[in-house]
Amino acid sequence: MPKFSLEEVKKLVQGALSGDRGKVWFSGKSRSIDYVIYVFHCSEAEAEKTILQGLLSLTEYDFSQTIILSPPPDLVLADEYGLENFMGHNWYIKLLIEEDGSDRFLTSISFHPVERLLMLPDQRRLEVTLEKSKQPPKKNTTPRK
Amino acid sequence: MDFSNRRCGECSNKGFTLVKIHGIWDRPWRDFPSVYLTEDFHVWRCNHCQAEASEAGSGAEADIAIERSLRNQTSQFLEVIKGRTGLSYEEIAKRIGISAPYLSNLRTEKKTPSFSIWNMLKMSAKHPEILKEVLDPNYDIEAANILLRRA
Repeated sequence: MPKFSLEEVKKLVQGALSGDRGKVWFSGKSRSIDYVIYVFHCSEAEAEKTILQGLLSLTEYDFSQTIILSPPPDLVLADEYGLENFMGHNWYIKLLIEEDGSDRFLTSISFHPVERLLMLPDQRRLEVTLEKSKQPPKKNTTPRK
Repeated sequence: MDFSNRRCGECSNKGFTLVKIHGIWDRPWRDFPSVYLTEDFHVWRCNHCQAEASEAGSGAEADIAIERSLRNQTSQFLEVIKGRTGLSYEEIAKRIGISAPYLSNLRTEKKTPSFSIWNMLKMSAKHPEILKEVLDPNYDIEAANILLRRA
């Protein structure tokens, strides 16, 4: 069972598509927006739309596992999904829902073609669809000293 | 809207600052591996690892800033090329491999070029002799010693 309700995820995505900008936060763009741009040679708005549409097409069967992003005491969890055959690729997705005061919003951390075989609980195997040579170079994000 | 307390997906820490971007923006856009912004644009940058993040809907604004920058740069490249080579715009179009009407749209900032056209025009603006000599359809490529093998 995912930590975050898929129904709520989709409600937040719909909110973003309707113009409520605070409902979806693309954090770590190099693993989502930039990656989609790299794969499809599209604009940033087109990449956003692709990701939001991808999130809307998730089903409970695409859920992989819940992982720990930050250990206790500041425990932060995220749900991982594998989206099969969306726009010609298999995708790895990582997301969580957070709170900002009384508002809740979706943080999209990763949305990119799977970089290694991804096994789903229902035994589906999501193979790598984007050759390694076509994957974008990994960026070095260094902490500020 | 204030997103300064949002979480970074790269380092999992909270804390962003809105920073102004001008100049090289090292991320892909369409077929551009990176873009050079000559229009100011603001992005949220993680206070810890400097990764960028954005809210839904900001992509359209980024696209506007990028397209304005690229169109303006392209128009200026063409003006520089014409001034430095003395060639007509029709001749420049022919040598670059694009139609005269399309070049006119680039000149008047109505269209955004592909990366290869933008890059070719940038190079020609910096080294106009390339457009004038090397890209002349009558250029003798054998005499130029740029072929590895002769027929």
